[in-house]
Amino acid sequence: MNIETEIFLELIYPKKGEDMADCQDARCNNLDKNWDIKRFAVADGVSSSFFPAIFSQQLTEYFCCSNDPINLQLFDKPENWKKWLVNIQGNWLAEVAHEIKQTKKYYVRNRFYANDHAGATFVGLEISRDNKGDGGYTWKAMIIGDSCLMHITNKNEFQSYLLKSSDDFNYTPKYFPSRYIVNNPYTPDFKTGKVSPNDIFFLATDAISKWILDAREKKDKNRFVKILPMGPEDILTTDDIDIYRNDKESPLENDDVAILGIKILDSNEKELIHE
Amino acid sequence: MAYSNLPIGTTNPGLAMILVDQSYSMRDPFDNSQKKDFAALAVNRAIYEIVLACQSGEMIKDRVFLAVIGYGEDIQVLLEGQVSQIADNPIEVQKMKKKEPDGAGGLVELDFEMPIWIKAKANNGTPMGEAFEAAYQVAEEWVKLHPDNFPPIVINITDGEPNKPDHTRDAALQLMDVKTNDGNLLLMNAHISNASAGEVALPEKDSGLYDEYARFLFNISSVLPEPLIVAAQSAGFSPQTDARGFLFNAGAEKIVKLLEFGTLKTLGLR
Repeated sequence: MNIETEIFLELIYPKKGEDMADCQDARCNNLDKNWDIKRFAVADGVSSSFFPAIFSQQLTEYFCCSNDPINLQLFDKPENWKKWLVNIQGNWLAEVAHEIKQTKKYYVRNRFYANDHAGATFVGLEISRDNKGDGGYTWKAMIIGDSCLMHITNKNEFQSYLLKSSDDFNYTPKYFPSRYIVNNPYTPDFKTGKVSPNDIFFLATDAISKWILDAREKKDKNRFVKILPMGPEDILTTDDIDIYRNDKESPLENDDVAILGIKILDSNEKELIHE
Repeated sequence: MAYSNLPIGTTNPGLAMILVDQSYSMRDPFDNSQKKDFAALAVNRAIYEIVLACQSGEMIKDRVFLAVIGYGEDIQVLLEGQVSQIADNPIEVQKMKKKEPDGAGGLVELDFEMPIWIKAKANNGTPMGEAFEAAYQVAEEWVKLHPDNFPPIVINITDGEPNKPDHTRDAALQLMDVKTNDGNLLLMNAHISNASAGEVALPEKDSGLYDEYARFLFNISSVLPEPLIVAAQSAGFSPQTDARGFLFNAGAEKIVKLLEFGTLKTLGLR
């Protein structure tokens, strides 16, 4: 069996009253690279931190697209995550140092002099063939903080990682720091599982993750189907986000939104459909 | 409930105003320099702390409208505007070094750029009443635009008796009468002094104040509502119920603390 992955939902949207340029969330994938391993990521920069948008962008791009061995072998050697992060921290520092040279704002320079850093929650997902096992496919994820991975199997079983319930969200999630911090207590979690055709995955930042979990808990089918691949006209849009933010009963919190919806397809079936 | 529209934010901004005595007597020695130098330093630092508290990423969010009024030789609105606008327009930025904890028990020397918005100045008398009138104009304009917001905070730093006490009292009462639907404007007075004894901080009654001028300032200082009592405690004061926003014979440490309490803590910025 061969499988393919398809992104059926990809949405990034700033919080109400702000522009896309102010959005601290990021998302990325490597489907255009024709690699055997498929990677997807979302990250949520901590808005009060220092240059969080650069950091969340670099986290997702490096995870999805860097061919550095330390990145490609991340799930074979998860203990190397600190070395993996150091590379991104170096990239962040180089780009921020460039920004600092340009800025006229003393209060931005003062934060740089004081070694201030960005923070970002992160979910990275890899879909790849399990060469050591039965030859099937597996998913592997690295997750930190309250950005979530959700998996709906072809048997309609739902799992979410790391947070399980809409009550689990708080304002002090774990995060990756953009500078080396002595005794950094924030360690990512690694998760893995089997992949089958017709499985669905979501990678989502906190506000939209909480909203999805809340919809499930309340068995709110109307909300839940908006994120499922029912048909192009039904899928979640930025207009829907505006509407849901104003919902009186179950409002979507006013925060940046990044979400990727991925469907697993059987390659043979896909060819038949296309023929 | 009054004084409850907190914390302030971009859609619910606050107004913080500082009045600075720039009369001749501010040339008196104080804390290894002169009162005028200390007042300028304290106000510049207070503004910078507000700027930092409004910084989100690389942006300054307009959570506060700021004004600084100097009074002495003349009445001058030294600063007035949204915090982002003020943050981006200091009159100069002084480069210096400062020592910060290195996280491992030691200190590390860091570059630092200190913005300067107001310069030390000290001439002529103490037209405090006229300064209160100028503050009234700023506050009245602001509350018209923000009728439901947390009411304005005004902190007056002075070292001497006003030129015209009766006029000053009337102007202060008029200023304290400015209100939003969340409460009356809060006026705090900080009397700066070299006196080594007799320091009074946030008193609830004037019976312990033996100086007529102290009682005068006590009477034109607002009674702190409950949320501000809590804010004052978090800044290191020990106010009782009905405490007033008033310092007498205050040293440098207390003045800095009052500025922190009256702006950052009261407005829920930190």
